[in-house]
Amino acid sequence: MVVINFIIQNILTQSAIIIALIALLGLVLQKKSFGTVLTGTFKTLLGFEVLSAGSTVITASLTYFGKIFQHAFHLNGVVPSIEAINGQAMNTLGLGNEIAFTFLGIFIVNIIIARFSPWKYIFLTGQALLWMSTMTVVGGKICGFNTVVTVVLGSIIGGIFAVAMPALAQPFVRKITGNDAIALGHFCTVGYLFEAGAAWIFGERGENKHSVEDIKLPKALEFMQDTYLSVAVVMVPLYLITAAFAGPKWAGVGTTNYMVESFLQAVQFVVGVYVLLAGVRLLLGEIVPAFRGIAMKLVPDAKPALDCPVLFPYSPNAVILGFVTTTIGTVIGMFLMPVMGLAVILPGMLTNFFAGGTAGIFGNVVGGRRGAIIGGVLHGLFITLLPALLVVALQSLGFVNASATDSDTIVAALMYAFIFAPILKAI
Amino acid sequence: MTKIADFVMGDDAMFGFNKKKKVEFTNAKELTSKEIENLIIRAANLKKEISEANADDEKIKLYEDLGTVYVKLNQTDNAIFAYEASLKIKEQFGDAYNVLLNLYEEKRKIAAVAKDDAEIQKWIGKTDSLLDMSKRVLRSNMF
Repeated sequence: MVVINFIIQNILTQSAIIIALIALLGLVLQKKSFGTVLTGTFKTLLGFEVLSAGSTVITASLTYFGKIFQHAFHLNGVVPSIEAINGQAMNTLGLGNEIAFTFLGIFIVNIIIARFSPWKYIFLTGQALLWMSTMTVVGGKICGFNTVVTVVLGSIIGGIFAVAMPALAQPFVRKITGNDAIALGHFCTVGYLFEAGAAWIFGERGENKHSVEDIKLPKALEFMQDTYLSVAVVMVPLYLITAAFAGPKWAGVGTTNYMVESFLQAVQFVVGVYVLLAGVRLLLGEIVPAFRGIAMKLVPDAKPALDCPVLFPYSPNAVILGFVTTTIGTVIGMFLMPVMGLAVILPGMLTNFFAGGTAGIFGNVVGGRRGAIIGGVLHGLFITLLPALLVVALQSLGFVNASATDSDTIVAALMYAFIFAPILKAI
Repeated sequence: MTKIADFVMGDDAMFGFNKKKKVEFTNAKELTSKEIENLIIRAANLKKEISEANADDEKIKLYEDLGTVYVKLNQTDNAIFAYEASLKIKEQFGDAYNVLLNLYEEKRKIAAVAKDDAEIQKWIGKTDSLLDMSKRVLRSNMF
């Protein structure tokens, strides 16, 4: 009894171990060799710890940034980063267990829906599933659900999203790729549909529709070649400008010059993202292949929903235009949100590139050049509004100066905050 | 089926999309023995031209032509080899990427029906590599 109690209280409460055990389950189900099971399980454990280390670095940097932004502008400045939200949820808020079980649950619900319904989509982007499980668990906590309800409801909602989002995007994907072989598995689909809708209203139609691909775009975005450089290009000036307004009293630490300190803190943020994403890769490196192998065997006629770069080759100019126009939209949104009484949401370069770029393809295919340009700017505003709506709920749970990014995961969390929670209160 | 379900499942009429315009990816029609014979000769000639070609651009074009011939002959493995050889010389967007994405998916489906886990992982892994390439090419095209 003492041993069982020890295991329950000291081992099974550790998120790193729970996640490692899920990976172990997947590897055993695939009848992998003992050595592979052992190394795979350990790598997953290691991944969680690396992710946590990255999260600690990001949180420290964001705490500093939140403080100087408050003193500089007397406003709540929030960095949109799903990585930071995931890291804080797993690490600081101790939601790792729920997130791990929900991640597994989403996989299972996705397979069940694909197996027994006409919607054969299997969501293969592991990282996006991790973000979705994070946000449904956060939603469960917003509503005050216990662990079991949080995991079960999160699995069902996440599983439905994993099928519904590729299904909703598929008419556009068919048009873009020219066939029906693959689907899009990226939880920014609400944003893509929003841009498609905007492009349909404001874009070109019929014979007047001119594709972005027919024009030659300037190639002057060298910094986007490197993921971390692209984060630094935004974060360093943001920290420096904010520190300049805050002054040495708030931005300085010890004897270090306040501008130097803010520069180093911005670099720390980039380092944190680097470490955290390395942890995510380690963490998912064993779980995802194991479970997608199982999914494919159970649903052999599955339509794989793949990450957004799958569409880039079909419309590369639209990706660049989508990135630029979405960034313009997010910059406008940054100034607009406080006017609406919401938090200042700073532009997030990674989201602007991947989600903005893919949204650009949707805008172009529906409304040509004009559709992509107007739709892109509106998309930027849309993906700034969504995290702004979530800020109050996130901060009430203890999240530090960050909000989520991927629009579908935000919509899922907003469903909890704006639909489930009021219903529960009313009952 | 409801209108929403129609939209999701395949009615592309909204947004002005026309489903009938769908690109035919593989040549499904039955080939005559004469056509097969011509294609085999064409493949042999292309292989010879590849071995004699010096310029990369020329080789890329020849490998892609060879891939197209193999797709028509329904020789998927050979087609994959040819298109992969083209991308090995130079990573770029175009036919090789588009066709490989579909051929990998065909092979993945066959592996899934056969419940062959190693093959499933192999073809999903290759698809992942294509996505990585997509990111690399887009970024290198941006300056």
